[in-house]
Amino acid sequence: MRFMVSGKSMEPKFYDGDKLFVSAKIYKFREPRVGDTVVVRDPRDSRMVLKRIESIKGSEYFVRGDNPQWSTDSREFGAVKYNAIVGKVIFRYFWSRN
Amino acid sequence: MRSFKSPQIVYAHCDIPCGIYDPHNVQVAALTVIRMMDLINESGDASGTVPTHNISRYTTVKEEHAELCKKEVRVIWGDYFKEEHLSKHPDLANIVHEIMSLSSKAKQGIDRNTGVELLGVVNKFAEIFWETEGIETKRVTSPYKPEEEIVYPVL
Repeated sequence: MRFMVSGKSMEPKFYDGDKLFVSAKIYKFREPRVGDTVVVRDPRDSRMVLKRIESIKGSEYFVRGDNPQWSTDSREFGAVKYNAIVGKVIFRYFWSRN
Repeated sequence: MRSFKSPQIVYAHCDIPCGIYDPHNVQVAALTVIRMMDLINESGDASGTVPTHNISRYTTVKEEHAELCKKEVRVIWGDYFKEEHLSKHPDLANIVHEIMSLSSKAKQGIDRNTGVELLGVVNKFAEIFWETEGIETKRVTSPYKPEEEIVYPVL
């Protein structure tokens, strides 16, 4: 799946306008891990958001932006369930800067 | 044909991107701590209801503002500073730790030197903060008591 980043919450890793290739299949082979950059569905409105897994408790995943000053994440909407994880970022195929 | 479509949007967003950070509150809190120490020390050993009442009030305000120093610095430290700031200013962690320790010490005692020392470290913290914003700073004496030196951004 291909996604384009909108927003600043993952800076300095990913910038607004970056294009990413995201794999859903990888999680058929292994569990999501702390540190994975993932696309998850915001439990409040199902909008897809880009965050990093900060910690895992059982089947609950706490996600957080790399740039917490500009991020709405599990600190606000709580942990997300496994089935809210859409996929893991595999690589960036378009850099919007640098 | 699906793979030739435009990529979907994924949000790396913030619901409220306020982005408002300023060490000024920390500096004012540190100045207040010194001022309260001065007022307590000037009160001497006078006994009686009124002096006791006043010293209670000064002590309360001193403690509140020492705690405020810690709180404000915690927020800037946790939410504003990033890894690249820390690698550029390796002394920042020590400075933050010193602010925490000196604020606690200022709560416990009335030694003016502790307050002045706290303000000194807070000023260093403010200088680093403004440098990361690319804004120059100047040191001026506060135009009100306790008339100690504080850092201002040159805007």
